Amino acid sequence: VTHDEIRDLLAGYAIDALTAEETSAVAEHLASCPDCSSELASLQVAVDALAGAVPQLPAPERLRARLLLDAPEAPTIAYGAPTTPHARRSRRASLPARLTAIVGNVGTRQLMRRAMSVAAVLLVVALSATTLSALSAVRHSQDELLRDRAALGLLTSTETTNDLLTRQADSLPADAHGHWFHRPEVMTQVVVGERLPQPGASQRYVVWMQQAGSWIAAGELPVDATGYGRLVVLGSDGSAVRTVVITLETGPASQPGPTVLLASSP
Amino acid sequence: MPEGMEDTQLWAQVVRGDRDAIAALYDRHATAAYSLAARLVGWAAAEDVVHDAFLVVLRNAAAYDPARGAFRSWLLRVVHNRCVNLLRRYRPENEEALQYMRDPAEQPVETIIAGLASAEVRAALEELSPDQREALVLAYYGGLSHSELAQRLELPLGTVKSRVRRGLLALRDLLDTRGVEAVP
Repeated sequence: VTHDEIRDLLAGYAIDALTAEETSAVAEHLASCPDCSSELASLQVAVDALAGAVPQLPAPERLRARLLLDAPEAPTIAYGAPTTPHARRSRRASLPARLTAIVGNVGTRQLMRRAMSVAAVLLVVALSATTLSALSAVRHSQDELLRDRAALGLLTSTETTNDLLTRQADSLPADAHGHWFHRPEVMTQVVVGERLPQPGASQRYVVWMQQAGSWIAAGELPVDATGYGRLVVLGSDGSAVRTVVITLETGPASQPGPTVLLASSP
Repeated sequence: MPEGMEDTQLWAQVVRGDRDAIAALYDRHATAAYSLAARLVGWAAAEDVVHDAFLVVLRNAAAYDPARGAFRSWLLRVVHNRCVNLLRRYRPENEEALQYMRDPAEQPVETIIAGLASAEVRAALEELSPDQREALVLAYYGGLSHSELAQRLELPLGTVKSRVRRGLLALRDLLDTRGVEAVP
């Protein structure tokens, strides 16, 4: 690829319009070409203006708490050639599990292992976004913090399987959905519900897991004012689980009530 | 925390593992990052995009060189990059996935421009030729690649690349004339 060809691609590079191969070629060239680096920097001013021109919306409060819990203790200093977000595109996706779950991976859902002789005892800890925020702020219990970090570590692992919980009830908003995060040999699972309507005074959302032909109530899923709720399940890696559902219950139950969200193995 | 600190000073503390500095950087730039992501992939996915973008920046600290540009510029590049990757991964065939986000490229160019908050950028875009404006807006705010643009506009790939390049160069010059400054 010649210098002139690369220069013609700089605009596309600046706005993420290139193929992975083109992006890699441009990134490699930039490392040794001050002229192209200079032109890219001048184009970046226009790109920055485009980025800043959108209507400004405050980020949700819970996002701050999530980030501070997930942020590494010390940023990784990766020695070697500097990388750019564009250059990283051609590498293995480091997209954390949550992100892929947002758009689902139903077509590529990992087959769950069906042979599991011992059903793990489920120790359930329900954490709402509000609870997470409070834990982040207070940090009064190191044990609890370590447990939360383990759960959130699962969420950011690229090895984690993310199953989309799809809407099963017409009463839910069209964008209501959920996620079930699990990873073999990691004894933590996380179930998330999003955009769920507030339950009635006598109602509650409950997460159920079906394994070995039986339904086990994994725990209540408390939702905040935005319809977001998270349930962390400790003690099982979920490999024996065939189906996860979120139901709307009106009282104690030994079997799932009306299902509102569902994720099941193929 | 140090509200008066420059981003470069905050970043130096972030690299040393100062979590208060991470919080301060987040507080300073989260709105810009979330707003851009929400424009491209909708609010439902924007939260995760921004969360992941911050983590990418924190986990690859060496990839950001303060001498080469503002932190916000770097962060917004990461956010935009992750948004378009998300859109391109699921746009062609995964209708189920896209029900959770709108496809920004489905909006008319005029509607996208009218929805921008910056009068200076709106005016500069309006001064571009219609062909350049269409290509640039659909590429940046619609997240379309050159090849996707060529397919959408039923034009040769080379023509599309040329329009994007000329459009961005012209926009740069127009903004410069209008005195629009770089991201702080």
